Amino acid sequence: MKSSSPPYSLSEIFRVPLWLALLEVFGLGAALVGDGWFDVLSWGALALVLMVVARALAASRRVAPAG
Amino acid sequence: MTMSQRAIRNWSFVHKWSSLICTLFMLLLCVTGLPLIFHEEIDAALESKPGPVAADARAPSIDSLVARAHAARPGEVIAYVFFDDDAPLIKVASAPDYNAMPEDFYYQVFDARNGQQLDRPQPGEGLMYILFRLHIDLFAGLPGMLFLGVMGLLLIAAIVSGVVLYAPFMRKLEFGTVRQGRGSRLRWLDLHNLLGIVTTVWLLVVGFTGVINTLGTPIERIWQAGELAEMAASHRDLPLPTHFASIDKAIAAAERAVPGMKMRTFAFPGTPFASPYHYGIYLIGDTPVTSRLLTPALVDAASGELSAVREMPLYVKTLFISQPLHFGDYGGLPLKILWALLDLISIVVLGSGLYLWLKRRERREEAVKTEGMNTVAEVLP
Repeated sequence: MKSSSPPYSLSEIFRVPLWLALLEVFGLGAALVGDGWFDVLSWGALALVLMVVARALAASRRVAPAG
Repeated sequence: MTMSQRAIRNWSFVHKWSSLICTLFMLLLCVTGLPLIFHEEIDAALESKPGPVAADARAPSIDSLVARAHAARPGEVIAYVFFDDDAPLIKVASAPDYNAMPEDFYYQVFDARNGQQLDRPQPGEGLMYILFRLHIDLFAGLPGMLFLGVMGLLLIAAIVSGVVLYAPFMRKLEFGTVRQGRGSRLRWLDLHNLLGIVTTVWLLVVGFTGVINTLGTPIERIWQAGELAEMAASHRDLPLPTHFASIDKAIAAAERAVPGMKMRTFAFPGTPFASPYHYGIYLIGDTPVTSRLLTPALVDAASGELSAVREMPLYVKTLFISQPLHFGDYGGLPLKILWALLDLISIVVLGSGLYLWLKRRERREEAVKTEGMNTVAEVLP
């Protein structure tokens, strides 16, 4: 995902957060627009955001050297 | 582009103080809000469901239910009738007078299919009510509500400044990094940044719509004094009605006027949601959005004929749309569960922020004691 090395530019720093923000806007909006599939899209988008968090947490635990 | 030390310091100042002032209240709101997300499910579990009714059951008239409710509470006035969204239930609310406070209302619940009266607890009782009041006004009425609104504005300032500060913190870290094994402070700092940036939009939306909800009472009053009074203006100089038209007919007249919508709330003449001459009838549509947008109709209480119907103005619609976006109750149970998870993450963000501040204070005191060093931006890359 990251090709460059630190220090990261502003656009690199905010690339993932921006995608997540758009997902959240979509997720919050979809269920408001309609029922049925719109609800499913909404759940999917917000669940994806939570999965990104879960993945980051899991990855950091794996990498972690003790001490 | 990198931020100057001075800019970082200023944003840190905003982030620190806006958070510090609102954090304890926001923690309270997140904790009390968690069960409130599921209040419909909790209520449904605690209350007996209306069972099946006989095949030849006849739906009662609203007139007859109101007459029965009034006979059971002879000293009170019948102020409102509510149709339930999800179950075939009709709630008749009576009170000592038409302008009584919400907690003074007494609700009688009827099965809309056969008119059987159901034994239901009053809404102003139990643990959920305590959580609800803590969440909306700290048991302090309008001032409490507005106070929480100000705390919500501080939360928004904390989120915005937090997003700005995210950049300098992350210049040397990949997204999602949580540094392990280098002390709990760094770990919690990374967690705070990760969880905070990920929930930014959700918490901004819930925070902002929460602030709008705290303005519900003033918005209602402005609408009542302005638009509602205008809608009733044609009757201003008429004598007050002495006999009253059928409620069922009044509802039918209003529903005819706005096809596709159905009545949800009925307000009797004398209440703040009607006029002295009119029944106030509030209708909703059937999509996720239109089911939140009440459309008011006034029906002449003497003749039962429609006097006025109009859409709500934008400022009231904004309030209506803010409600689902705050409650998370517009996309079924899965959305509520996601709402709860995001709420839990927000609790971690708030808690870790508080922890980091306490830790930093400790460290600064230590540092001042030992070498008098400047620690303002010591953790910045």
